[in-house]
Amino acid sequence: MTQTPRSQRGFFLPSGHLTEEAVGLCVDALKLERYDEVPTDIRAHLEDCQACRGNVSGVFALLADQKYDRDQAHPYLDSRSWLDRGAWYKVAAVLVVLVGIGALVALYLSNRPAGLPPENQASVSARDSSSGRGSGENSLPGREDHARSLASRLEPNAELEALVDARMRSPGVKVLRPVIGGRISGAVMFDWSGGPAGKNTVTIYDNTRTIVLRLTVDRTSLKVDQGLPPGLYYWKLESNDELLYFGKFIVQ
Amino acid sequence: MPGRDNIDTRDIRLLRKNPAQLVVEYQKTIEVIVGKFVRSGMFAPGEADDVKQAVAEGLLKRMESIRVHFNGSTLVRTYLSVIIRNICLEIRRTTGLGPQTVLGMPDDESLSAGASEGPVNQALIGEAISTFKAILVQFGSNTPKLQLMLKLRFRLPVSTADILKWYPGCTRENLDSLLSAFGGNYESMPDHEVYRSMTPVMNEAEGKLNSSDALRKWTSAKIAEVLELLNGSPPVSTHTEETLKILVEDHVSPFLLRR
Repeated sequence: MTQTPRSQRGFFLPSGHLTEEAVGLCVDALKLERYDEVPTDIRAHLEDCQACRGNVSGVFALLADQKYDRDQAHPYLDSRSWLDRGAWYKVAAVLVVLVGIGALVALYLSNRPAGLPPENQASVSARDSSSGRGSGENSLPGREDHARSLASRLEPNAELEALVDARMRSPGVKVLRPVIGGRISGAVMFDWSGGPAGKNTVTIYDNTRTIVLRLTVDRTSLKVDQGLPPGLYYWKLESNDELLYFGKFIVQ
Repeated sequence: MPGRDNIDTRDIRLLRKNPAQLVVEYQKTIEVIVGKFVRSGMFAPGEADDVKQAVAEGLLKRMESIRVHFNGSTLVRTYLSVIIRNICLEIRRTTGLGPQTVLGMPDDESLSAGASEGPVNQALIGEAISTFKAILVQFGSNTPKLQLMLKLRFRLPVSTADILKWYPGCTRENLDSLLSAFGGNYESMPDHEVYRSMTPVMNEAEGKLNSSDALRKWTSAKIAEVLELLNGSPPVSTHTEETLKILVEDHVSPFLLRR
């Protein structure tokens, strides 16, 4: 038995239905809660095929009492497909990436106004509005596209605009800062009152829906004091996966 | 990166070098799967030993083909479970061994909160719930719409997140209107009223001009599909809309069932 490169693994029968191995892959992914990593064509097929859903669900039900260890590497979901290609492809891929990074850095340096702090990672201090003690935990920041012009960064995003000022069923949340569409220089202060007890998550998006920052705090305020490039940002406040508020602001 | 599962590594080695031994290692899995099919009524209890023997023989016969075609995309334990299940279904199809009665999974009484909390029943309920969640996920881009319509069907309160997950571009006006209609207690609202209120926003979201009857039919068809998946084909469970409602309730509010 040889290990077939990921790109060549056949998951479909001549009939168009899933092979037994594809069914097994879907069951693994469901058990490991990584279903969104199953190949797109398999998920698209399952969306419309009751027979294949029946096979996947049937096997899943048989294994419902079995534990699957999420700490162990999965042979497909954790495989690194780019290693499947030949050595020359690898070298070419690395060169393309290096050239691309160099071009982005050059473009950013030529666009960046003087005086702004280095835009590596967003640095945050979570401030407790009552005790002054910081608390909270950082999540991974999103990508920052340094090369975009200021004009493009200020372009409203139609989908996110529709969500601005959306509130959940609980009317008790009151956001004090930032004001919707407020223009901010320097640190961005987030302040709110009300809402359910427990941790709150603030997620900041740029106008391309890219997550710039996501932080979970157990207080009702947050200070982001450096690192956001000028542009239009959207942000949401959540508690226990429930949307409390959606707003926007502009960093000048 | 964490290491590959030791059991999977062992299985791959046996598959390559000693497939007969691999079948021996999976004898327990064969017993468990056949046992579940016996409990569900697919096979009679007296047939269990014959079925296990037939499955082991069938698996051994397929080992050479498995060695050639297996691409390593899934864990061997899962792959062999798929094959064992298929062999069981084939045995049922070809030998005339068939369901006696579908003994099935927890019924209404045992699924509802306050019922007997014996460990076996609780385990079965937990399995039914995790299977239901796995089924929902497979509907892909239809999952948010399906979850919303299940809530409406069973008169469960709808939240902003439910609506925005299904229709991120929903206007503030429509959002308020839907929450006003379905965000609280609307148990007494008749079905035609629910679909009549929902249809205009659904049409806006999908760019269509469907009637409320079309939405009702879509919902009924999807519920039938979900029930078919929960019960299996051939059926090994006896879920109904009543038990489905309980699974949906637990999916949206896990604290409702004491587990």
